[in-house]
Amino acid sequence: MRATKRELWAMRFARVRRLTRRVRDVVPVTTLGVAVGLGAALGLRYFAFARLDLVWLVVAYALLGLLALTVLLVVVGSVWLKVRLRAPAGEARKTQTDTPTMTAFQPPRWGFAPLVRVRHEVLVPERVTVASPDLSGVRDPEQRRALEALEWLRIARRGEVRHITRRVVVSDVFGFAELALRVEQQLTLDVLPHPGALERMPVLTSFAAGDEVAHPLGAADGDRVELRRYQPGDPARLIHWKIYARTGKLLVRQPERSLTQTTRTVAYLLAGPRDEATAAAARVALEQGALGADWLFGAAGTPTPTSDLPSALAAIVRSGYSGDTHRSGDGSGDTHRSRDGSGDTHRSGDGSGDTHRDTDGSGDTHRNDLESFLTQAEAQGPAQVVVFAPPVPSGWVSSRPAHGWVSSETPSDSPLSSESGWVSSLLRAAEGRGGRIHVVIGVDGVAAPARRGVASRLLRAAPPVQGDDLSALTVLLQTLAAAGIDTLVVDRRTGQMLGEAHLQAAQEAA
Amino acid sequence: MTNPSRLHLPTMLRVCAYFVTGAVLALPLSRAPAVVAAALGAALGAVLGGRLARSPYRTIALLGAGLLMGVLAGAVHTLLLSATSWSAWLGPARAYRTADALLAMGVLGGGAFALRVLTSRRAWFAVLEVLVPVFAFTQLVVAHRDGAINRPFEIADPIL
Repeated sequence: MRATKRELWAMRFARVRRLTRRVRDVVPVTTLGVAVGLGAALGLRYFAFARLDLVWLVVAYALLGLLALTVLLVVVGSVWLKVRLRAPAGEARKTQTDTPTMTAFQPPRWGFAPLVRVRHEVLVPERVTVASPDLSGVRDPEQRRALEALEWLRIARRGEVRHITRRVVVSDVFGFAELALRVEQQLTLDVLPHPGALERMPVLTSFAAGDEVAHPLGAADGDRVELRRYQPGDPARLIHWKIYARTGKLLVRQPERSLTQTTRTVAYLLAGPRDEATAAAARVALEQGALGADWLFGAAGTPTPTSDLPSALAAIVRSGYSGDTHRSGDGSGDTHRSRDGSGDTHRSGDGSGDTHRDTDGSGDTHRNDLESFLTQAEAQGPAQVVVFAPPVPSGWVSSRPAHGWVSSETPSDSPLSSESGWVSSLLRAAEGRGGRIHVVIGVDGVAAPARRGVASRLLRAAPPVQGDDLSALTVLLQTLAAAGIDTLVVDRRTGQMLGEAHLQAAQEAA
Repeated sequence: MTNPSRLHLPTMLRVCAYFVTGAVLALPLSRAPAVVAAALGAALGAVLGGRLARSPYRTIALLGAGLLMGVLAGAVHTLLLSATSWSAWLGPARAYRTADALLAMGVLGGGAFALRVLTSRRAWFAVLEVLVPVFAFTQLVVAHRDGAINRPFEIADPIL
């Protein structure tokens, strides 16, 4: 997938920002410190010395002295941290998103140091915040202190975290001096999507039952009711002797062509922007057995079908942030993709699928290879297909909802201008499987941007939309409905199945 | 991303710095009530600015509010000085001092409000938070330059 111009510029700005931050990290004086030092020097030159201004003399020397002192303290503190601060390697933990998770790293806390303070942030993986643990259940004060001294992280994106890069910042209380150093930690964190309020998914079970759906490739089954002319080699016991006695023609009975119900379910998780709720729905469906007894599962980055729960959950984890998409060790902030130089973190199959690249800051890249997965899964016979899909099509341009969703990277004269990315692969898959594809879309609430008056737009910044883009979701649902695909929208926040009435109400509320 | 610990001491120190700077800026121009009003206005502006900087209002709208505060104070000042009923009620001297105090409070409050909004939203505007007090203090005693260490008289006389 080619990046759009806007994405290219965003990537360039991000690179410049990272480089600027790298430079600032090794220069001990902040912009404020430079300005104050410069102001003090100019004051000395033009007022204190040139015009014998004694106040400027005192103030300028005081400021320069304070600047030198803070720089010295910050440099000494940083060197001390560089020597002493280590993050233990080898931690292995399973966790879920939005849950405080201990990393065994002990961040420095300098209550005693004069004028100096220390803070830290996590650079890799992105969308990780330092959290406070809930230790209300810990009675032992010593254990409580020990746990509070450790770092707890809240991870917003599912995935495999194999190393953490922290930026520890030593600064003074005036903001004149600042130095930052990187602390790396190798560990194994498997982060599953948080299920939220999704507890049971009964509707998926009915998808799996599917008694109205039959397939001509089903196993031979049923009464022998059909007749055809005898062919040499047919067993004599199948000859219909009464018809032979009546007409003199040799006919044989054959079993009716099986149209048995499909009892197997194959499910696939498509990765894309804002797909956490969808991944959570897939997790709940697997853990609650909502796919029935006989199922196969695959996910972006794991196109090979799997039928056991741990492997399926691991596939869900792999479809998110991937630990092998890592920052370079030289600290340049560059992201290295897979070793074949293809630019994809996960690439497999025949290359017909689309590659999802997260533009929301996570930087992970996955290949949605639905066709390849279905080919492998259906080689063993017909099955119901459940596709877990994100609520926003890739390449969604929200400013043009009236024309349907449009891929921002596809030329408008292309036949795929209105159908590209994973939606097109879904539509192609639906064409040959009439009625057997069901789509489950997970959302974290739905909301449309509120209509605002001119005064409100001038005075206030647009409030962040609390939930997934309703207009994108509506167009996506219409597209899937037009292709005859059953769609189920589940809300992770409330645990509800969102029907047309819910979406209509959300639209009216906006 | 960042550890969400908040330091309240720097916030309080900053308000104190605004208070003192407001007083110092008004000192050469006004009498005591106006100086106190200016200091209070600057401190209040700093508190309000810090709070509203965290609101969704646009920076330009907040700066406009600060400017409006100063303009309104000027308008009220003009109105009070031209109104005979006001001076008849309080007496000419007290009416003049009160109007001056309102003007100092409004102008310094609006200025401090705008400065605090700017420094909260754009880190590099913190330079202004350092330079404004420095210039305020140096302007207070600017008369002593070029060797005139016996000036300004109101400060030097008690010492000498």
